[in-house]
Amino acid sequence: MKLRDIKRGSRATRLESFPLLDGTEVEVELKLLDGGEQDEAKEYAVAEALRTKTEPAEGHLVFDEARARFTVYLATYERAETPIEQRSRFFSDVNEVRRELDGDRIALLFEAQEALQMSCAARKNHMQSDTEFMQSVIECATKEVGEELPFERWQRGLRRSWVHTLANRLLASLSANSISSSDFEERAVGTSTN
Amino acid sequence: MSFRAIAPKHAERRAAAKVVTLQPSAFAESWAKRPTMPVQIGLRLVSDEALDNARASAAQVAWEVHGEQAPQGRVEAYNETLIRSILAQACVKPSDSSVLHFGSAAESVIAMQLTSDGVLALWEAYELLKVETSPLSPEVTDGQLQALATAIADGSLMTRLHARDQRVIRRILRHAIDEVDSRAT
Repeated sequence: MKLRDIKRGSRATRLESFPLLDGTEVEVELKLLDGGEQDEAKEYAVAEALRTKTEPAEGHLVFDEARARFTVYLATYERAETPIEQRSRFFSDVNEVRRELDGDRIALLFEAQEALQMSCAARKNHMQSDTEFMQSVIECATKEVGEELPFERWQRGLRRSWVHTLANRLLASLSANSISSSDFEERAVGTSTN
Repeated sequence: MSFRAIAPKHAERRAAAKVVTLQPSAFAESWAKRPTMPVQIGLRLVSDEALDNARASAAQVAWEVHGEQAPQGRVEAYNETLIRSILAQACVKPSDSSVLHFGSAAESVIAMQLTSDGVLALWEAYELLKVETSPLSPEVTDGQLQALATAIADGSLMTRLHARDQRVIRRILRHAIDEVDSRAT
């Protein structure tokens, strides 16, 4: 996402608390990355992939992990009352991220940062019409087990919105038919899922 | 506060996140100093960097030992070395998580001192520590707890499992009960 796509402004942040490896709880502030910073994260990921002789592209383990790591380094700030541009990053460099966090903690911060990024994006993060929503539901329901489902390639914001709408409609449908959730669970037992 | 600012406090001597007790049978009979009493070993989580180093070390060993000709042997050597390398960094003194239990050449020391069952016991304890402490591990909901209680009460919990899986679930439940007992106020 480029800076021009950001709707809420480049100062939008999100608080996130997480345990360090020794269990110490810390609270940090995540910020949006602009286009230049996102490019930096990709450049780092490409360099790491080439260094380890792996594919320098999204979907490949080394590239994805490296991009997540660098994004966490760039986006994580110490928590304070002062404007974010006057504060220091929480980690002094990307190697400190590697030394002090494990994959789960990096994934947690990376996903939280991505959610923030998506919540501020002008890109589509909800279905444009009811027809489009229903088509996607039918497509998911009629795929064979193991086949790729449409939502697997959607942006996080769109996925969240779609699942939220789906859950709301299921609940409304259960209420309308006076079916309790336990009845529904009983009916669901034995059905295959992906 | 940045990580640098909290680092001194962070580096204070800290007890291990978890302590496991290995019975003498977990140590190799060929080891001259095989203990005669149970040994307590602390565990800590390893960093992304340590995991990367462990992967690199495992890949190197796997290729050196088996080369192009034995892909299955290479996979087994990789997995065994990876587990030992991670445990080398994860096993610490129970009272001080900055001191490695097996010392600096820990990987080869583990191979020399422990039986394969001993390594497995430590690995399972380490995996459990990850589940217990990972911010990504999902927590059981009240509804799921209720459903579990019902399934235990009416006996359906175990009857739908194969005998081997029943033993796994019984171990996990035993661990959960022990944890509840040890943490109850």
